Amino acid sequence: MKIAWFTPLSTRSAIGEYSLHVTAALAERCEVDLWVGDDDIHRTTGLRTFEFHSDPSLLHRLGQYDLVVYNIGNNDAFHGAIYEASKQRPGVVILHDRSCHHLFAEHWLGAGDRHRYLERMETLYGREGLERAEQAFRGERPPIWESDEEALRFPLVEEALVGALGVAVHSGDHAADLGRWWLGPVGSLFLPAYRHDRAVPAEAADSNGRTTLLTLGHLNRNKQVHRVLEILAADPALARRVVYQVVGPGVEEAYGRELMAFARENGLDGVSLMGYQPDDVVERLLAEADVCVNLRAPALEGSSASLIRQLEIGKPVLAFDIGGFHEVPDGAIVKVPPGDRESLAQALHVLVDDASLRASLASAAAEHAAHLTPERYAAEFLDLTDQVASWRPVVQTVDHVADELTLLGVSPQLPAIERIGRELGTLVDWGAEPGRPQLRALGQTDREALARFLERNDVPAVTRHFHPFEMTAESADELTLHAGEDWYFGAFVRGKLVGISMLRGWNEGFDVPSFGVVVDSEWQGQGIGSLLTDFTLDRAPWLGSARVRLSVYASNERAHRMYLSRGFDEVEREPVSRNGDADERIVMIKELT
Amino acid sequence: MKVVVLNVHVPFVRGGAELLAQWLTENLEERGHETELVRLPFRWTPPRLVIDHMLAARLTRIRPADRVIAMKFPSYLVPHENKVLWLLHQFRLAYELWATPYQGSEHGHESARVREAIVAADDAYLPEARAIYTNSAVTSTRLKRFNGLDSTVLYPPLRDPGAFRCESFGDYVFFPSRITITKRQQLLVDALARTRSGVRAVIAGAPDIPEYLDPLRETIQREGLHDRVEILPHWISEEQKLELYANALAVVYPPLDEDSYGYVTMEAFYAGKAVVTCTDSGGTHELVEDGVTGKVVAPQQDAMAEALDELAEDRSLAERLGAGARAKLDELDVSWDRVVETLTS
Amino acid sequence: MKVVVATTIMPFVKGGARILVDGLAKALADQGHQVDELLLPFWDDPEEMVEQMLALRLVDVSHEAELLICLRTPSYLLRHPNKVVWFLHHHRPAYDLADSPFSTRTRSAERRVGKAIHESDRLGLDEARRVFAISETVAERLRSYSGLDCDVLYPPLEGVDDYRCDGYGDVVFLPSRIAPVKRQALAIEAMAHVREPVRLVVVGAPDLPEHVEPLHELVNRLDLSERVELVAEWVPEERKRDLYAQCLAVVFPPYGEDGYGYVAGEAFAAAKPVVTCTDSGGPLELVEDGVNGRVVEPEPAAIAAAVDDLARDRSEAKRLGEMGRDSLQKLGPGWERVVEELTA
Repeated sequence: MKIAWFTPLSTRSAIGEYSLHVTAALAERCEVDLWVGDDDIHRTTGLRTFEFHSDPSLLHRLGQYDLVVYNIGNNDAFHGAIYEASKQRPGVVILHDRSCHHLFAEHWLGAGDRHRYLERMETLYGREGLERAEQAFRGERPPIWESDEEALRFPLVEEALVGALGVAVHSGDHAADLGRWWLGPVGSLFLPAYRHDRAVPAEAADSNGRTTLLTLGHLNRNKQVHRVLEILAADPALARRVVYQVVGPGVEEAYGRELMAFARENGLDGVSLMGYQPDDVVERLLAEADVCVNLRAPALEGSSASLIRQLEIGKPVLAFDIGGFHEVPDGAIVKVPPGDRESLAQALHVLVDDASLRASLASAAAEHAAHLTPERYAAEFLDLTDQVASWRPVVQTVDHVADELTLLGVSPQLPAIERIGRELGTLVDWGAEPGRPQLRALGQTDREALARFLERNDVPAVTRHFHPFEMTAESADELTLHAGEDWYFGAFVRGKLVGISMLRGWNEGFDVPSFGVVVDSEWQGQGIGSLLTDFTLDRAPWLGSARVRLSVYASNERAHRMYLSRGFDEVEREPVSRNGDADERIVMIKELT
Repeated sequence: MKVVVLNVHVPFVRGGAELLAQWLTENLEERGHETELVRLPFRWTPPRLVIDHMLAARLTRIRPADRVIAMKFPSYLVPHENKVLWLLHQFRLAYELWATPYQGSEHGHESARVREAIVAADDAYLPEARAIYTNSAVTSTRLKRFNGLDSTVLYPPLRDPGAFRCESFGDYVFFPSRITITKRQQLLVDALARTRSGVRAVIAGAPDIPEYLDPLRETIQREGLHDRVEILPHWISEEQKLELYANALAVVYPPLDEDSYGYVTMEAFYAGKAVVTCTDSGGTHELVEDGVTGKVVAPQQDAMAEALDELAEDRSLAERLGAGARAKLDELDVSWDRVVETLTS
Repeated sequence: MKVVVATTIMPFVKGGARILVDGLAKALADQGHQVDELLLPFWDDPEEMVEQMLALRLVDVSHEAELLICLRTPSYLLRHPNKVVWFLHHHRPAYDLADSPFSTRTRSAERRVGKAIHESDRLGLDEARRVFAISETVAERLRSYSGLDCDVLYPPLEGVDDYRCDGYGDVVFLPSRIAPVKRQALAIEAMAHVREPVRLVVVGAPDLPEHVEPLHELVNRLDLSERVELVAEWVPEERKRDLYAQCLAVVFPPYGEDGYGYVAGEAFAAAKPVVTCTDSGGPLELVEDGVNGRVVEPEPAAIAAAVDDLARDRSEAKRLGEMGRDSLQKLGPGWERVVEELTA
């Protein structure tokens, strides 16, 4: 599969760094090219890059890709051009932020297109949206993007998804939100961790016996630093035991000045607002910190990259229980309900007092992060693309109908539109029974999905009962590209391959084909095996066979019983030894009349 | 009453179903109903177009009409408050032919989605009809099995049964039908290469696509059957057809899992000729009984060759089975009076 | 080449479009083309038009045919890379008939869909490689409603030689589909003013059954049952030709007709004069007052006067009628040329 991966590659973009690691993992399974959406100083990559930002004519080449992926975040310099490209050619959008208001405000207003901004605010959010935007232009109220809450209220994400065949986000929470109004496949993935350098011991360098708290990132209200300062101010005893370092640009802005004033007025000399620090200093501070205070509210990001960084180097983290933080297992970070001052104060106390708690949090954090590998991310991303592929015909049909209605000049208010929508809905089934397996023959386009299926099922639980061929990508090639006269079938749930069955042997010259079936280790016990078996046996007469054979181990009681109930007769039993245990290999035959 | 017969139209293609719709229209008119035959366009490749055409059918309005008789997918999806179905078959690629060599070359998500849509449409809209009739027990069985729907068998009559005649039992077997993979003309040609009696074959019918003739011609070439196999790759005239039936030794008709007994079978019976069919030919078994009205053999070249030789070497057998076929027709009451009355009641 | 001729139809109504499709199909076949006909049902209730228009956009007829010729509205919504339209008429209720007494639906319903009808007409016609109109009248409408300039291609009259003249009797004949816009009522009202012993025979299948009763009532109210015969159904060709052959003249007073009117053509083929009205549209491209017929105000008295004139002077009727037969040449070339134009 050939993928075009649109991303910023600027050294200043965290998404750029994320892209490097994810595409490196993807490149082990597919061909990936990077399409660079900004013209900053770039990170280095081993993959081929296309600077479409400076040369838009390159976009004509997109036709050669099987899949196009667009990384979209709330920043116009990094994502504006990518958004534009996505409008020309639909693809999978990876949405990094929960609001894209800043992106579009800058994108349109920066180009002097106030009309477009207002038109979108009205179309998407009605009169209310239009009025709020106009109030900002009249100077009656501040711009929407200056308030996190308002940016989330008018996210303009709808616009970011106009070219989306499917969407990937990095928390279940975000996926659920999106699923409430966006029709189409949404993949809930995770932010991958790609540095596992626990270069620093769990015990930090000393700070006069005080516990060091650290908050990183651009200094704004979203970081909720004032909450911590309020608690310290109300609890001088606690304040004396703590060094609180707040690191990141923006200390000279309003919020920063507010904090400095507060700290001064309350005598919080353990608090230092250090402003911008270069990377090596930040790394050192991070390594030396006892606790990372990562309170963010409201959740603006899909998931927090800073959190991942803190987890992967094994730091105790204090966070609000929302967004991506909510999904981290309980023992790995400390989560408090947002707005609950009592709980926050308590949590601070416990973290400061209990060194052994900090130690166990640290190791749990690192363990959790160890699962968040780019390789796993790549595999799950490809699962999402399966779902997208499965939805594609639906999307195409609906788009086609919508296009024609537009061409016909049909106003959306006409009652006919609703009736047509209903008819279409019955046919393309928006997902009334999303879990129902779809059974069909496997074709060439399934090669990649089959490779993943075999690889993830190359586990003893599966291979002890099923081993007609190696569970590798090479086998996938054989089965899909060189099936010849043999037949392979698959069961798909929401586009994901969860089981395969086969009638094979014709290729090798046998008259009687052998039947085989294998179900994904995570989908066993749900009837998929039986469905595939019946499906395959139904088709056998059409494929020219008068009978079907199979072999099953006596120890595989469930399968043996099923075959007997389907009319297979035993013709041979052969004692075998498997891993030191005695078993029997039973050959069965079914006559097809 | 004002009756609309609703069928499907693939430009420049005419086959059995088109004829039946036409005959139905004529017979309705003859019995005093104001009748109109409406044919809706249909195309099924690439698979996604099937959904377009299903939706188009749902959006079609047939007015004014007191009664609509719909016969084929997707035209039977057209909404009408007084709709009756006379089904020849559903869209087979979505049902019994799905995931078999007959589905075609498209195996992937698109065809799977389309198949889902077809089943969803059948499930949702077939029950809209006041009554469902089918052309054979096979079709009814499938409808029950795939969609849980009950239906009544209403056999389609020939247009003009009286025209068929038996003149002699000649030296050729006759296979008149559209030339397509599922009709299995290839089986006859292959079998002929294995016969010992020198029996000949005449194959007549338009190929669905010209390419279907290539493998047949290749076999004829390879096996040196030029003198023994005659292919008339086009629609032949009524005259020619009656002539060929009249003088055939027997009729060969071995389609794969046919929905009904097939016009060919019935035509052969009216001409008093035995029919050679296969064990997996489906609906033909409703008429063809091995040893009584014809021969039923395994779908293999050797089995077919054996049957052909048997008939060629024993003309009295061919005659006896032919007579049996003719007698079978008297047993069944297949008539246009019955059909029209049922469909307009 | 492989040609598909497509048109919309109303089931059971054998209107002009069908006659044209048959004639065209036969002519194409005669010229060696492979032809298939597509007759698509279309019900022009504004409540249901949008769905049906979408249905036309969704079906695919491009696969087999090298040329698609579309006739009646809105069959030209069908998609095909080589589409030629032989335009018969607009969906009049959405255009000039929108506010006329002939509008058969509620105005608001029509208006809501009107925009879609206008835009979709433009869409279908813009996609066509060429557009022809069946008359100058229609060409003019295309120019003003759809901004399109197109050539005129008159539908050839079928079976001209089958019509004959058996003299000029005492019947005036009105053969046409029964619909308000054809104004059979006007002709019936005229008979109340006719002084000469002339009868009116109205023949034609109604578009909708409810259009017949009012005509019967009118005949009774005006006490004309002795003088007006109303045959509200399709009659066989032979009977029609007999009536043409024996009549004094043909009265054909439709409102704003699109084509020249087969009726006028058939009348002339039978060498009979045609009485039509100043607002009758297409027929005026054939009928000239005092040359081959009479063109009068759409008033019963005016029509009656013309009928009386012809009844009193049969030689004048004959003169006009024979001039009428000559003027059939104005319809231009026959099917061969039509096929050439459409397949060019």
